[in-house]
Amino acid sequence: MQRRTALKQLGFLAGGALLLPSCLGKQTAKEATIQLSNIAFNGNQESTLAAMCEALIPKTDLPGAREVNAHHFVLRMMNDCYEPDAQQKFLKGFAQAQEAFEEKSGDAFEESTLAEQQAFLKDIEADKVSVEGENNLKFFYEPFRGHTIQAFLGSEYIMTNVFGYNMIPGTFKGAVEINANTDLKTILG
Amino acid sequence: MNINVDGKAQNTFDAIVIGSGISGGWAAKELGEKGLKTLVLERGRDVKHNVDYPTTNMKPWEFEHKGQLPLSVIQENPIVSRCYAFKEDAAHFFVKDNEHPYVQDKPFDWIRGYQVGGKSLLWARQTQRWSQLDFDGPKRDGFAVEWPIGYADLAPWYSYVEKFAGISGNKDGLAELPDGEFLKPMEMTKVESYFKEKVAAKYKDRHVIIGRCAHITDPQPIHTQQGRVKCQHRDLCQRGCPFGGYFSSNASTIPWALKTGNVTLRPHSVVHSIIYDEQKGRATGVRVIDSETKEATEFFANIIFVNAAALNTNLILLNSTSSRFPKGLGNDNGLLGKYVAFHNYRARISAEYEGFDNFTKYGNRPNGCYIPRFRNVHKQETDFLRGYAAGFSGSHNIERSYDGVGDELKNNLLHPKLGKWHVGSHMMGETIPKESSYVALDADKKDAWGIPQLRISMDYDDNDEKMVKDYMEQMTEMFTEAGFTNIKASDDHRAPGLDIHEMGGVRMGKDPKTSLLNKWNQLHACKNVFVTDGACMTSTATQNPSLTYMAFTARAVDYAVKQINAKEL
Repeated sequence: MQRRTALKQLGFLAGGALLLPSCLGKQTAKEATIQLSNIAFNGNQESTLAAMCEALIPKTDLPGAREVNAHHFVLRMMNDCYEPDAQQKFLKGFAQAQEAFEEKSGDAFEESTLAEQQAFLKDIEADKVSVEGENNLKFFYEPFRGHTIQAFLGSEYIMTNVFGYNMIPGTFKGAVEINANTDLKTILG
Repeated sequence: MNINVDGKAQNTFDAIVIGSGISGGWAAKELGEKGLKTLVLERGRDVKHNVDYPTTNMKPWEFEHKGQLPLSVIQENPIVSRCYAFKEDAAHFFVKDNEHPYVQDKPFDWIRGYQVGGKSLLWARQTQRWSQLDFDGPKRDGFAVEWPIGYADLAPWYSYVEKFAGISGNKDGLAELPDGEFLKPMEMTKVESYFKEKVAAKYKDRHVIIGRCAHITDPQPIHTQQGRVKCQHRDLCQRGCPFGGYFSSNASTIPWALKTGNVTLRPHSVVHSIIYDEQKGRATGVRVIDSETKEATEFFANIIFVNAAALNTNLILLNSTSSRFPKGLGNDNGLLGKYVAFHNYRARISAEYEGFDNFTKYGNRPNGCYIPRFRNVHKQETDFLRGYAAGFSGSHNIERSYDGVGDELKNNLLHPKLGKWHVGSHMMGETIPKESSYVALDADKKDAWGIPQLRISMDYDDNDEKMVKDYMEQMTEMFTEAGFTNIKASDDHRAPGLDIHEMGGVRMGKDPKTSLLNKWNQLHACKNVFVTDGACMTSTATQNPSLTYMAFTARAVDYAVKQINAKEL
């Protein structure tokens, strides 16, 4: 039922036809791995979003956005903390981003190279992506970007291993001298 | 009302305390320690120290929305959502708007905590003594009525409660803000110490001091006996502190009271009214409605302490009618519910400072700096009455670039730097209690327990407007003098209530014709009823009020028990 609603939603968003590449040929979409009550999002879309998050903050010697489940956080926030109008514009903008990407590269977003993906995100930021009809890209891109960054910086891995988060400092010192500007744990202490 | 008569003996105590928040907890402790069989009635659920703090050890990444509340919660609760602490980690300790409606004759954001411990779990923990200058206010400036007590009456009780609660502070030696029994002060940051020096150099009567707060910085045996240890500087107080590092009824007075074996705590007990016996000429007990079953029960006692929090104490007394007191218990003069007031928190100021580049802080400080009132302190100097205190704090901004996509963005995010210092302050203005500021019972609307809803009517006046303007001007001058830049002063025009310092309505005074309570916090007209929460306040001064309620409560219990022992009560 949820899947059918999701498909219907997608059809509507794409102008009545199921043009979304991840659905083409299969006519089915897998279920998302996150339960959402207010926005319709299927598993294929989830994979695309995860790839977008990862393109924004890729894995290096430290985890990237996918590994810290940033895509789930983006969806959780969109589902729970936004007005219905913002939710719909987010979905429309997401669909437009998918479409625009495919039109440009011929491939689905998650099936292209990181370089292509990142070039596309830069194009969105530079307002260089054109879409047909009302442009909702920024209503997708801004919350997507903001919450991906929030999920990354607020992840257990980054907070503990990089920034030295300590829930129980035990004491407070008002004037601590910093010896090096690279001494993150002191700076953030 | 369907009364469950449980056998009067079983429902009879030496004392009843209505409310288990900051003052009710103290009443329970003092009465229990003095051997009185005491029933503590709390309208909300039980919150046991360290058992019922579900979020206290959660890490930032464990919160589903990283601290933010879902939109539906905010939309369903527009009033409490305006409170700074109503967030994902502590929302469960706040009253939700629709569960406990009230009538706003004028806009008033009434922030409440209905559970054992009340708002003592949520308070900002700032604890300053009043000075004689504050008690002199109404008489000197001709408003409200004269206080029936002075600093000397309260000073030993301030000491008494401070030692037990654990108050951190610096002995600053200021006449306008008497020193207390302090545990060691918390440290100032670089920019705060700098501002303190700058202000001291320019103004002989203005002082920037470290906040005096109810945190254990140097545990004494009395704190260890309570099972409380040193503040760990987590700064997550609103979740309930597993260390008991700050004072709450839950961590301190309530378990202490229960340990005496004399105190019975009864959660889910909504007090409908106080029972007045016409023949005996005294209050004999309270009518309670079970919040869950709605069953009514009566409890009886020789003395009753009303500590339901300022406005709810007014509500209970107004709803306690009898042929002797048709307008509410003790309300012979018709002033019950009137002369309520609050603290004016409308204005704030922020700025930046460049310097101390290689300094930061370690740990989190659940405290700030404090600027005691400096306007009209010893004599009238401005075109408004009274004055304001101010909070102040300064911390080194952590800046990072959020630019780029991919590796560039990631690299930026992972390399924050110290930027300029951020400094900020907010005002805490004394407001003048007036007859036109009142709470009253609504004639028709009732709550889910059949109790009339409270109508609230208080507002800012011209004096408050002038004070907001003066705060912004004076702080701008002080910030400019200190070389702060990008100074921004603003007035958020918030409704009264968000200060969570509502006071009065059952004011103390010398004359039964113009006040409700005498100098021992007894109702003039019903001496076995004591009011020692914010409702008793004749004027508001500028101090955060809880410490004063604690001192009033301990003092009143001491008096009550002496009177009982002397067969006077």
